[in-house]
Amino acid sequence: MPPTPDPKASGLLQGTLDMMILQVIALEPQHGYAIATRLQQISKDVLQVQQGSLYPALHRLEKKGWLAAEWKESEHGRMAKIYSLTKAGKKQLAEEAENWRRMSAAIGLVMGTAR
Amino acid sequence: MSQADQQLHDEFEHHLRLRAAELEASGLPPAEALRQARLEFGPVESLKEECREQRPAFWLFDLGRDMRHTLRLLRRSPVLAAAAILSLGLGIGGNTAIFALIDSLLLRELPVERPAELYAVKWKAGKEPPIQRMTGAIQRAPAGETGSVGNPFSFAAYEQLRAQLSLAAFLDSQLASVRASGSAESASVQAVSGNYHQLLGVPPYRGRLLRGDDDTPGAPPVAVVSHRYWTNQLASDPSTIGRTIRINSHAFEVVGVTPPAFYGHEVGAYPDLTIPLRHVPLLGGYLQEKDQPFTNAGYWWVKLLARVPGGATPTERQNAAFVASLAEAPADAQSTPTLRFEPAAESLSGIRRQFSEPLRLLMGMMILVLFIASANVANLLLARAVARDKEILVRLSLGASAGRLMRQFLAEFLVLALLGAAFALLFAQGLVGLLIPLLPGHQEIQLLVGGGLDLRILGFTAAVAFLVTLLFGIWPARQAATRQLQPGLPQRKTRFTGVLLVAQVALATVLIVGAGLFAATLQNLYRTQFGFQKERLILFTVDTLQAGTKPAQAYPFYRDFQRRLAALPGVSLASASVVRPLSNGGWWDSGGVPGAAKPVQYAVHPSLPGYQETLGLQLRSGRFLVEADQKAPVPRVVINQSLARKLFGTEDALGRTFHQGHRGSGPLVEVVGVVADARYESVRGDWIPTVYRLLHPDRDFEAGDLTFVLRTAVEPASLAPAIRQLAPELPIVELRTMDQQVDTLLRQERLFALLCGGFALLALLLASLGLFGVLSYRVNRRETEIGIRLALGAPRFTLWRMVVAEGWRWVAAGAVLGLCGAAQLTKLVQSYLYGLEAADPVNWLAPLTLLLASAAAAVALPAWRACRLDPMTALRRD
Repeated sequence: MPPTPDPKASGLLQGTLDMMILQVIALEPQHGYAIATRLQQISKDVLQVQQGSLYPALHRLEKKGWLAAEWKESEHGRMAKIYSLTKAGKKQLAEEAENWRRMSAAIGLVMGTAR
Repeated sequence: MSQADQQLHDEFEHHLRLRAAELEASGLPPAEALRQARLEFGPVESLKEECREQRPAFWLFDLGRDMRHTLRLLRRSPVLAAAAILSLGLGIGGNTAIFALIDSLLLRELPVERPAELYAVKWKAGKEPPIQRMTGAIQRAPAGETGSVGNPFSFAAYEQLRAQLSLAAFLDSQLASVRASGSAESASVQAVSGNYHQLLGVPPYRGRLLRGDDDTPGAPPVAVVSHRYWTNQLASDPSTIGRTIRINSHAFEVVGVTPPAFYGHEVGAYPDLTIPLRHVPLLGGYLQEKDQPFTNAGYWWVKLLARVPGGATPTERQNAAFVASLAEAPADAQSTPTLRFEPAAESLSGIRRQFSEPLRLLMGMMILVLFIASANVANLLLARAVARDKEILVRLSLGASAGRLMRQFLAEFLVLALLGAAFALLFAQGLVGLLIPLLPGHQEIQLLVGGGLDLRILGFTAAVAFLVTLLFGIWPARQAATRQLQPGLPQRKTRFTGVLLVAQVALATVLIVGAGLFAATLQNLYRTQFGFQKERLILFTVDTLQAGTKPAQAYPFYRDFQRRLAALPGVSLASASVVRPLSNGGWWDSGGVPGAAKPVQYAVHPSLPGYQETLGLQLRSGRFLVEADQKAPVPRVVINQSLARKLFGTEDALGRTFHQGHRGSGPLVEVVGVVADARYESVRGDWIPTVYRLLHPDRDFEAGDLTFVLRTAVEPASLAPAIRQLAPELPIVELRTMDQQVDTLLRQERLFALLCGGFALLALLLASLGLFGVLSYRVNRRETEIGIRLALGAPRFTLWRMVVAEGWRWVAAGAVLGLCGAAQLTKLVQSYLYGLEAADPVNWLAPLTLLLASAAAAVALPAWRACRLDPMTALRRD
């Protein structure tokens, strides 16, 4: 049996994954596979998340009302579930991004001085 | 597959195809590309499950699916399902039945507007306030308080307090002979002040209800009828309003009907007619115009009901108004009475007081029975989870989450519990239907409980089913679902089963010991010394007022009737008393020797001559009363030994005198005889000091009732037709032999002992079944092992001992635990017991033997099966 995907095991906090998903979708509405590919590309393959574990996160964000989903024909002529950011999602992303910037600046400072 | 599941599938499939196509483009063969894509994706089914859990109310959909799945499973093992449903059904049903009684007798609010504001008004005093004449009760203050609490007030007090309080007055209902049309029937009549209906906020169902001006001197007599009376006696005829009915031959105009749901202010009483207080003297009962009930402040007879929004504490001004109404100013603070408000529903209802504790106790017992039943089901499911181990392993490997599996096991329990609850409703309805006719006052109780199932009962039953599921389903579900995936790991699922079994045996022990104590109590009550010969006695009550005789003619009439009764063939003696023996009620008075500091409380038997002989009292000294004593200048009495001791100590009582009545200041009476103590109003309790005196030809008929007692030379019940024939015009009620009277008196005790015994046996049966089930199942599982042992030459006895030892370990632990528990719990019920000590181990012997015998059977059967196994068949099975 394959190991169960676990964001914590890959050193990724759940909130962080959510934020990155929102960020990727903010660029343009897209389907799950595209989001997964995009995440890997942008992070230059640093983030080795099992691709499937993206979906529970997508469904969770959809339930929270930050994402909206729609079945549309994709570029390959198949029906695909396309996710887009809702108003609430945009607000959430702005908030989390701000938090993240402050946090990483602080961490950067501490790490910089401590060296 | 649902649409949402289909979409989930499509979404994942879309991803996998795109990835596979990409990998294919990079040169992989199609099959390998798809495999690679799946590997990168992760465990599809478990991811789907995670996505599903994000759906709103996802567990409800799961629940529906799981319940359907369970129903399919149960259909495959109908015996197991039936056992579980029956267990839970009996357990839940018993609770539902007791709850139905508790709900209707103890919990419901009064059928009035804003019932929480309604209070019974009473008074409390250190010493008795200035009362010259009284109808009502004065009781010792409840535990923790001193002094006494009384409920009657003078009419003057009512009028004074009305200025301070929103207040209504009433008298307890009395039976009267009512003629609506045709013949006269007995009906209960309640008298209330004119503002009563208005204060309670009861709207008329037909016509109008009582008004203030109905209750003024000189107002025309009117009556309001209850919906029940209107339906049963007046054929729901609207034209009866405005018609005249005769109550004890006085004309009253019917002005209206109360609503169907309204029964009055007392749970368990349902007066047929309500009349204004002013007209009570017309009925000719104990309230007589000559005693000036409405003007004499020393005559306390009226009871009060107040509406007090907000606080329930009487104010200074209200207390001052009460004190101002007293006939004479109180001497000191000790004898100054103060008002007291008690919640009306609890304070006024005899039924509530009578049933409150026994019902709570029964409910407690029933909860223990339910625990035993639920533990059985938990054990059954645990055992089955072990049997389904392989299936569970496969499902876990396929990605089912532990939570998902747990929910499924819970659903299984829930289905059983709900089916059990459905059965429980039927069982409870049957049980309540059986119980009510056995209760004292069952007609009123039947009205309160009603016939059908209401939402409260349904809600309670469903809630119990869910609660049981949560309490007893969670652990087995967790045990089953959190299976480690490594193969070959030993199973350790027996500990919980063991805990449950020990608990079951312990609870069954407590219940059976308790039931044994109650059964012994009942036996003692029947065997108790009555102090008179209760065999060959028959008794009946006649209502002198309903019989239509005027008090003046009553005495000669009943003396004549007494002679005619005594002349009946088979009757050796006949007499009558105002007090019906052994009927939980009596006449009370107090008196004392001249110069005594404190009056002595005693009971009175005002009777026709010959009463002591008829009862068969044992004369200790002196003589019984005879008719000639009637004319003695100093009234003569016979007293019992308890009273002789209280009044005169060790001195001879014969020829001595004491003041009778008015707390030791009444007229002197002379003792002409002392008799042995005899039971007066009930079987329990200490001997009651008693005075036997002759019935006063004028005064004593005001109360209405006279109870004749006949000593017979033949089987007493056979005289009933002759008695009825002797006076066809006389309304004869409660014609019973003395043995039947004792049965009636002990009806509640008997029912209680019966129910406790029934519950305890049910508990024992369920616990034994549980033990038997678990052991049988284990023998089943170990058939191969047992087969090998047998094949290798193990003596059969060893195998028998192996199973028995396992079973007895639990039984012994449970029994010891149960005995410790019983030792603690039975202390609480000591007040219910009679003639025995709860802590006396002798009383525990019989119940304990029963428990051990049934446990032995439950253990021996599976053990016997284990050693009877044929090794060849056992080995071939796997």
